[in-house]
Amino acid sequence: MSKEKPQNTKTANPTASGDDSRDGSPPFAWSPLTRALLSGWLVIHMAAVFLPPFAFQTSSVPGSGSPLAVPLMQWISPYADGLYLNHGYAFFAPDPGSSFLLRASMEFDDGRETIHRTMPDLDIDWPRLRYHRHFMLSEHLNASFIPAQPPPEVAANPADLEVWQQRHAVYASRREAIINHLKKKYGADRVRLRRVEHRLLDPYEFTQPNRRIDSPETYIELSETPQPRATP
Amino acid sequence: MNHLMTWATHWLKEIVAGWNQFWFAEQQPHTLALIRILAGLMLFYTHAVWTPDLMKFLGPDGVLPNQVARDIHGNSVAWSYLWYFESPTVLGALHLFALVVFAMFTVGFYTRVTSILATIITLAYCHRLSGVFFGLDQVNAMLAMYVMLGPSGAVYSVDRWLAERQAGQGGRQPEPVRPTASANLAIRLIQLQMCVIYLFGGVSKMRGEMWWDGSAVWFAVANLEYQSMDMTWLVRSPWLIALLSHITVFWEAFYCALVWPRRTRPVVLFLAVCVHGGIGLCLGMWTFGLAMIIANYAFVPAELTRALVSAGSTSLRRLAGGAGGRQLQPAADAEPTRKQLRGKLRGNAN
Repeated sequence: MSKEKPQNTKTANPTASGDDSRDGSPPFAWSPLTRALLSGWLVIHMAAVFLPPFAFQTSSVPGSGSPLAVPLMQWISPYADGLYLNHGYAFFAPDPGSSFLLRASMEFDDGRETIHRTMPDLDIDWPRLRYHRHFMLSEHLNASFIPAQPPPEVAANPADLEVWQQRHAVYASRREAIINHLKKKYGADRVRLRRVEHRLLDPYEFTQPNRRIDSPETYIELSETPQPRATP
Repeated sequence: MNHLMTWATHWLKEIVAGWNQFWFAEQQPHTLALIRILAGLMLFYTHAVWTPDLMKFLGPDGVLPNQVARDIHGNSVAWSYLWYFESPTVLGALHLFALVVFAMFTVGFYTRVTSILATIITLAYCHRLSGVFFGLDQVNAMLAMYVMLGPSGAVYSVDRWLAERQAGQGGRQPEPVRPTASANLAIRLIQLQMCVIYLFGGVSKMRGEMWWDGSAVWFAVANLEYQSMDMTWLVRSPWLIALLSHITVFWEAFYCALVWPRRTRPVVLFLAVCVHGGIGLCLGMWTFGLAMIIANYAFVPAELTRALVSAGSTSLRRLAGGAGGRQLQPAADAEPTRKQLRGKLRGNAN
């Protein structure tokens, strides 16, 4: 940030209206050159604020999108990534959806009883933000899920196949890291880690007898080898 | 043709003047300073919560080891100094240092240095732990970065208190608090990014069905993992669920237009407090809700902040029975009279 000139308190305008040259005082604290340089940076910076959510909204799958947004995003990505501006801001959107949890079973060869844990767990993860971190761990892992086996149309295209395999490798390494952590923490010989979808009840279902938002049938275990999806 | 050229030149000049006024006019630092305190508290708390799980998330045997975190970023230029450390002692020391920096930043001690360090540390945690982050961290990073750009320690800070004490000991009047262009620039950047966040928050909801059929709020409150207050009784009032859903979408989508005019701004900010307060109370994300409310505070004029803080500190002094308590505000920065304040607010379109 350039050094600002000392201001006369009489002429300085606390209401940010600024451009008062009628009394002969300098209208702005910064010189035209400083303002021009800062303006250039502001254009780039605001582009880095605007383009990531714009590109996100124009894409249905990663890497796709509007022919305008994609190249602009590639251009601004280094700056936006560096300053942690690369976000979609799609909170509870396009629709509020199911939650995704992790269930782990730690198994022992020495006859100890299997330990079962769910992530997140409100009884263990306190305060609430700590719970939310664990919740995000399971949500992010599920969001990055890509099955090992690509669908035929992806397997037929080497470029698509490479992207698919890279994305699956990231998912697999994330999952493996959680398994390894639990193995070490509990001294377990094996850890079975499952992704679980907690389906939401619509208002009609909720008002039916014996239906609660935590009814056992609302928890659905997800397969690691589902039917291949059409697009990577 | 001449008329067209004259009109175009005049139009361009107005655009440039408007741009200069918007970004480079001067503003008192009080709103920015209050945001520093509130955002600093949030940064401190957010990072303090990592403490019991430090090795679980940052360690080599944790759920997100360095290599996995790097793989998530792929070819991105995202960088974190935390990439390079795995030893519990070093990570513990770095974490302690981060908490000390956030504490100093919050109270405004060596604010220029600590604001820069707070931004670097915040971005480092964001990049290192992006596999477990959410909206709260996006807002935290935004506030740290923009508060760093302005003179956030000029008031309501240990720095200011020390400067006043030093001046008092030398028998001098302390330097008055002056409006600066960098305070305005920092506030403008927060304001504009908030507009972008809400615009795309609204646009992304418009792509869904539940926000249009009026059921979205039901599915938010019926989500057990988010729920911190049971609001499922709303099922008996579908009209209320629909009203809340529709208000949310339209408020988010039009925030970027309606937050600027003086007449609509209070309504838009009131709705922000309601929506984010509701998220905090009912959906268990009070940290995210508070962070968004803090960021919305950027739309409150500095003069109003000064009056509010002054009134608040007077009330506190009265409550504590310390009528003779230390006067933190210098004479030049004293509370404006009600009449002066009204005049300033009337002329304030920022």
